[in-house]
Amino acid sequence: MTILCGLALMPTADFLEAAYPLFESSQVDLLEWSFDTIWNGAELPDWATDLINFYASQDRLLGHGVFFSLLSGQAMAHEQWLSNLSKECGQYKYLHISEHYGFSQAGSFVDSTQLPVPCTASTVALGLARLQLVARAVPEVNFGLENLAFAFSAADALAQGPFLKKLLVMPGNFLVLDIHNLYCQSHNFKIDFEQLLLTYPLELVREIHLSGGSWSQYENLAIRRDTHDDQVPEELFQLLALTLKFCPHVESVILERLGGTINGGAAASNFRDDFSRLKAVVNSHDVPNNALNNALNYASNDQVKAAGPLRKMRGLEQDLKLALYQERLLDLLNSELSAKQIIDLLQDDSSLSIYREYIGTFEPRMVDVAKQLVKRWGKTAAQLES
Amino acid sequence: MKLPVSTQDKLRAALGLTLLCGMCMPIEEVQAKAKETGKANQSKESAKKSGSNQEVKPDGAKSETKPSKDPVADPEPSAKAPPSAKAPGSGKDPCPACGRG
Repeated sequence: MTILCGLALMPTADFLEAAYPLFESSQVDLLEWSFDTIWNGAELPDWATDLINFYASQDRLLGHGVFFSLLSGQAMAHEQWLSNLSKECGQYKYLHISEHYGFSQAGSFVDSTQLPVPCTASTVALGLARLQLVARAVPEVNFGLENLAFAFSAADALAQGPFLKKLLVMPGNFLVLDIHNLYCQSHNFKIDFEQLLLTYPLELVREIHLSGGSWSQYENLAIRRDTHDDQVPEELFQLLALTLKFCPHVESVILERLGGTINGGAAASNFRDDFSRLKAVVNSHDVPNNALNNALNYASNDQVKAAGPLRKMRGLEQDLKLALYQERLLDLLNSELSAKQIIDLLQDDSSLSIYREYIGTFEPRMVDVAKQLVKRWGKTAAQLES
Repeated sequence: MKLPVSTQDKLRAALGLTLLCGMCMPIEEVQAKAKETGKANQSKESAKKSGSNQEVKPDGAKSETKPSKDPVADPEPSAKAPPSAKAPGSGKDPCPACGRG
């Protein structure tokens, strides 16, 4: 089995300028497209539509959603998203579709950054119910989840892999492993990369993401951020080689770079160098023989199509206590309160007592990062209307 | 994965590039060169000098992948309007798809 290498499509001029030589020289095996970013009616440039059409026609198009918010406690726009997904998959043939672990919508926030969720019986049930809704909407399409870059604490980071393992249990489910996201957590919480890697269900990894990022400061601490706005750090190519050894069913490796950040010829050249390095690492990797026997992990959705499991999950598509916690969290992160004040307020809130232990692990520096993220990406319904 | 010629043409047009004698060149440069060559031809014709047509003519564009259109005189409309650097999914962000960490 050959591992294919591709690019995450950004419909921006800088991406086209940087990536054109790679497309022209037939180096891009796969294209990943965040299809739901244009469901608001935005128009794609012709060249981007042509690329999507072509890669879809060759069975080389991957879909990567960003607005589903799998683990929102409250039912937000999930039904509409699933309806759109069904239409999307009718229009284009995607090899598979993926989304993110975590939540980005709660209360008045129709979007923000992806934030983690405590792993409880209730949140696992919620995630499973939502994944079954996805399977019901697009029963022929394999659906995966990506690991997060962000965590509130080391304990939170170490819990995310096991949480994903509990969620990705249906045939057709898989893990998108973002190595830069792991790198962020490894650095920010001083956890050995391999130790962190091994907390994830690596047998379910079908796709790997690689990207660059940036550093931010909190007091005297450097915090690694998954901003996708710079070159891939040298160390990550070694970590990619290491990760491939542990993931026997990888089919694709995708380079991600945020549109609008490839400024100038040198940055464009670096972007192409990153892709060449990525390909070189993948090509030098020996695919283990057992990778051919992948039927157990990536099969049909026959079980999902059966009505039984769906009936069992009915009524679990919301978790109102979780919804309350998420609403309070986003509101506080969007306020001018300090990180320590936010943690105190959450811990003292009697309606959130079931999350007190989880909140007790929060590190102020990471709450400060979450504040920056929510202020940067958070959008309320009112803001969208104005 | 080899792109079809029509897709490659669209990418080039969006970048403001065109194919001239198999070489990928900026449309503006090609247009400027064509203009210069045209002027030179005109002046030489008016002077009625012999052996005046040794310059490279822009009809090297015959090897264009779209022979029905002259890319020098009439570039693809999309070449005149490069793709927007704005995000598809939001009014202010370059791309909401990733890198929100």
